[in-house]
Amino acid sequence: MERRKALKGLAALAAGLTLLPGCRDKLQIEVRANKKLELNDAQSTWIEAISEAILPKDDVVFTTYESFSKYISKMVTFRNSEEAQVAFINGYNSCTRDISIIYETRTSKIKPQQIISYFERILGDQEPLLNTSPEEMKVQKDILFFCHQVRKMSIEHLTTSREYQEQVLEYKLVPGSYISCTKA
Amino acid sequence: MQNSNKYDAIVIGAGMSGGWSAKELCERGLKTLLVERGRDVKHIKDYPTTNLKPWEFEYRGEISRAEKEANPSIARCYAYREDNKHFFVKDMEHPYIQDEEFDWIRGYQVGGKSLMWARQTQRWSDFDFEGPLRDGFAVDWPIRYKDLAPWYSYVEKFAGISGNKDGLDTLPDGEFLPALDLNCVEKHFQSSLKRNYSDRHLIYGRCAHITEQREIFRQQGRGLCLNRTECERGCPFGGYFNANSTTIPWAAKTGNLTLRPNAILLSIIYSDKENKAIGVRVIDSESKEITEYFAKLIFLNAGALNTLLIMLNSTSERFPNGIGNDNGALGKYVAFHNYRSRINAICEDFGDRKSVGKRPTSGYIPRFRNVYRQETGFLRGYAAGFSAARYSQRTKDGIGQELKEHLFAPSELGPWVVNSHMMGETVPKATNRVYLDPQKTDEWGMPLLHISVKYDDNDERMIRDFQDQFTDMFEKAGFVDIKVSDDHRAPGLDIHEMGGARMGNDPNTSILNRWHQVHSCKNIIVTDGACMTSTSTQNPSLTYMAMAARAANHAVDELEKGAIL
Repeated sequence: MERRKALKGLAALAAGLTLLPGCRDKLQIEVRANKKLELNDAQSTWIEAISEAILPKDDVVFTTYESFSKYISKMVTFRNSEEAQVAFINGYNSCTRDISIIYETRTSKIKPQQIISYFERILGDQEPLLNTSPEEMKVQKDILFFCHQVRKMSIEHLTTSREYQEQVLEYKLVPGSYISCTKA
Repeated sequence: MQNSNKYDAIVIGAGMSGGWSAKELCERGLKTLLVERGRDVKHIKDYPTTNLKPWEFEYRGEISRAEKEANPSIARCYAYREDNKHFFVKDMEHPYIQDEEFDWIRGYQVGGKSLMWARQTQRWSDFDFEGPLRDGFAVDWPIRYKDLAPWYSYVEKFAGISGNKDGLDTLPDGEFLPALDLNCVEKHFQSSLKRNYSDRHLIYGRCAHITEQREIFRQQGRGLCLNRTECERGCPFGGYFNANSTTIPWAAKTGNLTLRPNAILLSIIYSDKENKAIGVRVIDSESKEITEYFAKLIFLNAGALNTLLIMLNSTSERFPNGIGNDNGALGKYVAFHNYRSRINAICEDFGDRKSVGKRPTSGYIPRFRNVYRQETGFLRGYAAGFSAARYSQRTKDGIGQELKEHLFAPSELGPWVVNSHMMGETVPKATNRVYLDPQKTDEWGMPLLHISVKYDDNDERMIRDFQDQFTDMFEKAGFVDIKVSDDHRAPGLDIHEMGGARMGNDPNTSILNRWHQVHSCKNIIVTDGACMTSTSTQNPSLTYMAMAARAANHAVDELEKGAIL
């Protein structure tokens, strides 16, 4: 599908979602700020799938107390401005629809490699498409923001986990001695 | 007057200097009431995050955006994080009025800011005490180094200060525990300074950490610093000095201490009939019940600006403008330290060397400008912190398996990064002042404090000089990619606010005498930052400690001789 046409469709859908919240499908997150994101099972599963594609952790046994979807649902609200929270949710909603449209299938059928390809393309786009309407431009910006954020938080979720801290970063609560200078 | 409310001495404020006042008074046998506006914080028991690991913090150490927006001043403080935010006063809960932007960083609890201080401890020298007289600003200090030197030794031995005997006349040596070592790049810079300048020195930053066990620390129940560098959470080993682990329990052991937390001091009670202060009026922060306590001696250690607030609010027929304020100087001549500028660079050498572990301090460059003669277009000078470090690096490029492989790949050491920050003296001025709002009060009925403190041209010239001099010093050391910055921070973030009830020989121009007594009410003694006549460049806490111990012992001597009352 031609990119501009897709954007036009997404912009219309985004507007419709704001006006008609009752019409959203179960993967779409209600746009509201300053409240913890409450993700339903379908949304959590989809967010986990995105994160797992961005940063596969299949062979890492985690004892961290929370899943990525739980982590993301609190951190988005915790650290972002109201405007950024809305951009994140809008970006997620548009991204979710965009991927389904591009691959012409439901998100549950989308393969990790397809998610990777999608993210590579979005994150690789340095400039938004020219000659787009303000609404289409906003959709592009929101998707880009979401993709950046979800990638960044996937990395954080891993690197702040107990396993990563202890095994990779060799974290010790009580390091004891300090050696001022030794061979590198 | 109820007997249960009568003490020999009352100390207001249970932080850095108040802990020392209480310890000395209790040891000298005075029944002492220690009043603290915040909650009690017991050593170890009330350090809730001290042993938490990074992954155990719900927000991974971050402060929420909403909390930052609600508390913009503390949010700008380097030490304010998820792991220790419970020790910081929220801006909105204890409001003040900023005539000029001022980030007032406070810790309302037993221990005060001694829980989360930076632990840097340098003595003053006579270059500092003689500064105002020589350079013609403020008023002459009524004391000199020789007056304080034995008290520096006294508090250093009890608190535990690590450092080297560097033999510098600008920064007298003390009673030191062994220092940790500078790393190879820091030593390289040290050598470069020695080679290129006669007056510039890099030394190990003297700090209040126990690096060698001594009997006195065993008696205090404190152990060695284990280089966790999680000090601002409170140390479970007592590895660094704070009032909670050291002075306050020591005072309590005498049986002479009564600790009264959650008690906000409203005013000092002055008796026109007896011509002296006779007690204090406090309000319980929870119940709002007002109680009066009485004593022969009253020590003000509430933290510089809160001490000024209390003094200004303590009015009587004799002192209509605040206690001790016969000359109108109370609240004026407030000063601070100028930390605005930094410089960083890369050292391309020593690629085959690294440091292992962490240490609780860094290098320190004592003041070198305008020390022996006036050599610049600005008054006074600056000290500087200096450190060098290499950081492990992993690329976070890619997506999918490629990203994962990058994150799990062995790390590579980056280049040595060196950085330095200035700590400049600011010149006290009558226009840098605090005063009470005539109408607005906080929820306990205390007038809100106006803070009207700002930088001046002298500070701006000093910043430029720091940047020029350190660029030159860095270039001579062969550092590259040198970048200077000025973060234009407001005063206050240095957390070194001082003055407002300055010491001096002349009661017409100062508030306190050489023993920290209010000139016109000698049983009130001020030994926190409010007493400072000038700021010099050193981190001030060690000087407050020495001053508090000296003044408390003198007051008891005088009391015993019947000279005070």
